[in-house]
Amino acid sequence: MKLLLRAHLRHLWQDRWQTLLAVFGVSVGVAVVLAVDLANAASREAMQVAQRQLDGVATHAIVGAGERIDERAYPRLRLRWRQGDAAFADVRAMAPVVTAETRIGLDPDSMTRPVQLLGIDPTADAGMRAAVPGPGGDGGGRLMSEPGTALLDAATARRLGIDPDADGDVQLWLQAAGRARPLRLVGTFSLGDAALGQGLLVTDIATAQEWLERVGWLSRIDLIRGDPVSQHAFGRMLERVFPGLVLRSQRGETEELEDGLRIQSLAERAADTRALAASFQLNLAALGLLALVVGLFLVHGTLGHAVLRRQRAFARLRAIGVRAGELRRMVLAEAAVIGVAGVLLGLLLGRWLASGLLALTAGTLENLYGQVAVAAFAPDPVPVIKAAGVGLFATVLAALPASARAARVTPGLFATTEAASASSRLRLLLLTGLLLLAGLGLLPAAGYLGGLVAIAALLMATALLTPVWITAVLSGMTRLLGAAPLRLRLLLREAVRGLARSGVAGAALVVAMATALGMGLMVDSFRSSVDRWLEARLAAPLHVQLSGEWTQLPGDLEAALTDTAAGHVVRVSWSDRIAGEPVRVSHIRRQGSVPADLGLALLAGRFADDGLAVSEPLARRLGLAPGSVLRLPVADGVRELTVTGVFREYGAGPGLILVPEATGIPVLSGQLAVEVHGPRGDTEAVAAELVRAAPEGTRVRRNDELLDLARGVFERTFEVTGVLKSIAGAVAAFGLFAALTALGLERRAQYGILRTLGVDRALPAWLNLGEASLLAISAVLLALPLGVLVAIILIEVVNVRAFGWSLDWSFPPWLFLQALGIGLLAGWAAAVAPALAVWRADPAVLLAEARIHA
Amino acid sequence: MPAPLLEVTGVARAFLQGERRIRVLEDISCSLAAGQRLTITGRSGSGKSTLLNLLAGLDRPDAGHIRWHIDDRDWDPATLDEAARTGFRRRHLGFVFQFFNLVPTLTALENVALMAELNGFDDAMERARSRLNRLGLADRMDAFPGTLSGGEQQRVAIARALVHEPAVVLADEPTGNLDRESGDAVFAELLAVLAAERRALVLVTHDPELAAGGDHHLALGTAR
Ligand SMILES: Nc1ncnc2c1ncn2[C@@H]1O[C@H](COP(=O)(O)OP(=O)(O)OP(=O)(O)O)[C@@H](O)[C@H]1O
Ligand SMILES: [Mg+2]
Repeated sequence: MKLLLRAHLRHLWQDRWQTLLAVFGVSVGVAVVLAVDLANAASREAMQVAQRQLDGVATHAIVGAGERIDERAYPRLRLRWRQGDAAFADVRAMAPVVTAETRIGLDPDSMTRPVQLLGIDPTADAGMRAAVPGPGGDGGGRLMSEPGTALLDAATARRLGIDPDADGDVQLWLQAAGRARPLRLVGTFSLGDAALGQGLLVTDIATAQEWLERVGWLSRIDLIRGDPVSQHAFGRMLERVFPGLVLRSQRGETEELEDGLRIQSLAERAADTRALAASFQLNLAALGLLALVVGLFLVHGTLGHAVLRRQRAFARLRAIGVRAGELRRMVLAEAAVIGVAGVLLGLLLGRWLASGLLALTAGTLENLYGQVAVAAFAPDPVPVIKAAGVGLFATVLAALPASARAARVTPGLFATTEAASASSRLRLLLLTGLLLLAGLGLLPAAGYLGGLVAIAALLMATALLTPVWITAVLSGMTRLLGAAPLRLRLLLREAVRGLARSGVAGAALVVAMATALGMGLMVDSFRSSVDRWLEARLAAPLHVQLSGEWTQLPGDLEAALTDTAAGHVVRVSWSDRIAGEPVRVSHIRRQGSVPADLGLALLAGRFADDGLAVSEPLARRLGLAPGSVLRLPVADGVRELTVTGVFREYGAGPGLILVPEATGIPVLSGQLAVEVHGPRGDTEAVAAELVRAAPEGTRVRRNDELLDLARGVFERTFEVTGVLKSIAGAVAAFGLFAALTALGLERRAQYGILRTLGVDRALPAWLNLGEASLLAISAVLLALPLGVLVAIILIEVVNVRAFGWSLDWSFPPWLFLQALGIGLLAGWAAAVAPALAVWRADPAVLLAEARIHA
Repeated sequence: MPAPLLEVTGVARAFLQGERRIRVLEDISCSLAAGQRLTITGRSGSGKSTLLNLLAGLDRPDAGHIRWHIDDRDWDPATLDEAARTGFRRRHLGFVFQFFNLVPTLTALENVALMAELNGFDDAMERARSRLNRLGLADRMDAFPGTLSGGEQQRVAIARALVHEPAVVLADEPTGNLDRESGDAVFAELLAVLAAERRALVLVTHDPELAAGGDHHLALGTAR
């Protein structure tokens, strides 16, 4: 038994190219799964840490329309709580908060360090945020007694060059509400895991209101409710195991209070930020699984081939008394060795890959969502155990068919090698059919995950069929070229014969190319849809961000808009929430003659004065269509309005609701932004006029810049997918290289004979290159339609279900040519080394090998 | 005495095996005329295959000369470049190996036709067919080597060695892998064709009976 095992394991060494290929396949799969999980978990962790810094142990918050609360509501609500009002039955603490993102620096010219400004009531806040000192401790008391003072987290202080332990106050400058404001730093506090997340500047609530020009307004009121959320435990576990794959698994309840105020679970708020980031992480997680599938396929193919090649040896072993079960176990042991080696290598590779991915994700997330992402991984064993477990389990699973085949070998001393029998081909077809059925069956169900599973099934099925397909193509060519020169016939037949080895690599190439093409088509459709959407919007919009709180537009600005912006559309926007969804509500005012549809890319209905238009993702999430009724929070409660149209929108932010002026809904007071849409040409003039008329602290920006920024963000997002795509391509090319090298070694003896007979040295080299070309071309022929299918599912199913937007098709011919070119290049790149090796080889040496190998 | 087809004078060849230098061939001389047969015998490891490699231009001697005289031209493989040596083998030599060594993905007919095609004969298929016919393989022409018996494969190999009408056939233990009876039959057929077409044969063999019938005989010792 021990010797038997040794014989088997020695085979791994003798066939080391194939073994290496399998190990590499497993390790790349494991590495990508691990890297994606680590990167996703890390960026998610960053968001949660940032959230926890702000929320502390608060479980819920009271929020109001327009994301703010009149400060007079706070004593009233506190009184209700103290008097035992049922709505606050299980509330244990209540603390008002004013917060905004700001920047600080040592002098007014260098206010560049981003910090979250948090205005608190130190007395009410005691115990709410563990890190923040209470009124008794380290400078906490001075916040209340001395206006213009603040506390900063120690890590940020150090980054500014301030010694947190030094005594005495430090003068700092804060950029808030469009102005530079002096502040006195009276102390620091430690955030613990401060390396994660963003800086935190804590001050008294009144000071914060003054700095932010929000006197009289709160951002929200934090609550601690009795029973910490223990439900959703299953959802949280799922998120840990599949970071990025579970979108919005947690939803909190919203309870309405008086005057448009409502209690919201913070889990729900966190879920919103997660949902945004998840749309991006989903891409990564899906690609991680795909890489694993490709890796598994390599294992499956390699072991299958190894068993096939040793059929005769197995038959002899059976004849001399080795049991079928023993052979089966031996093959599984081989798989386990490959699996363990692959997993170990993969974990190392994964850590390394994760840092690269994280840098890219961090950049993207920062751009997309203004989130500060992390530079370090949380020491969490879950992703590592998961990747290792998945890798090992999958390797053994992929080896099952081969081990079963080994056990089926009939004993005999003179067994001849059998080609793939008709029954095994039938089984292959059956398996493929089942995979396809299962995948397509899942397509309509299970949300966007169903779409991804369908893609995976489609890819697997095609991978299984690839060798059959390539054989068919090559046989077809052989038949077509019936009377071709013998050298050509030799090429075709050797290529078919080599498929036992190269078929797996061909399949990997098909999967990689189809994925690349599918993603490429999706990205291109996305890009051109976004471009068209941007074009369709009214040209040259200006973006005016007012500083502070406004109940209506300032009179001068109003006048300037009426004068200079005639023939424009003026949009006044504020943030809000509807049914838990963050939304941006825009009050639309037309001035003079503007297009009836406002240049919106309308998908359904129209833009009309008697109702609302909503963006496509929001419409999908809330199940809205023309004719539906939407409950819109307004200054004095809630109004019911009819939806008249759904328009296209690719912003990654909240859903968009357009409210025509004619509906009579007034602008909700609060933090307002104004956008001016109109014909090109006079933007500069309008901008100059608006700057003159607007109150101090107003920022006027050309929207083009914002749009360029948005486009830049898209490009970066796709850069990450591009990286993973290249990895899949590299695996396939390496697979092809290993297969062609192994074939080259196997054929050395034969080349030796041919060279001796007088075949010149170029022929074997050309045979190698020709074989690689044939493989690549057959693979491309299969990958092109498959890639289109993948793109269809990505566009029509995954994007619609995960992100709520539809895309216009774009099939640029250059993408197909590119796929063809890349396939051929990969094939040639893989063939060059083996071809050169036979070209250089001495015929006498090759002949000697022929004598040995005969 | 016919004009010499092959003249070997004072050929020596040694190999480095690790630190040791093994002198396999030392001061070998012999000659052969057109249509004649040279048999080479010797113990395993005595350098028989090494000598064949030298004759075929697959290897160069350390000392001495090998001169072929074919088609009124002198050929010294050691002085030719790689392409010319390949061309020489292709045009003027035929090979029969111990393990037949047919191309597994070409049919019997195609294996034979390959040599004719390499030599640029337009009627490659025709020539191959008639060769195989003469060797009694008319009904096995479209079979792949894997389905032929050892004797059949060796007859295909003989057809391959002759189809381009070389001046000489080099055979390295052509019957070594066949049973006595088929070995004798195949060898007899080879001799018959060679005699009819006046082609020379250089034969390496362990079989004393086959070795006995040659015009020249070279017994290699184990020089060290
Ligand atoms: N390229 C080489 N490098 C090193 N040693 C070599 C080389 N070629 C042959 N030899 C050595 O030269 C000796 C003769 O080898 P050769 O193959 O000529 O013997 P042989 O007479 O044909 O034997 P057999 O009857 O077993 O075929 C052997 O010891 C062999 O190891
Ligand atoms: Mg020999």
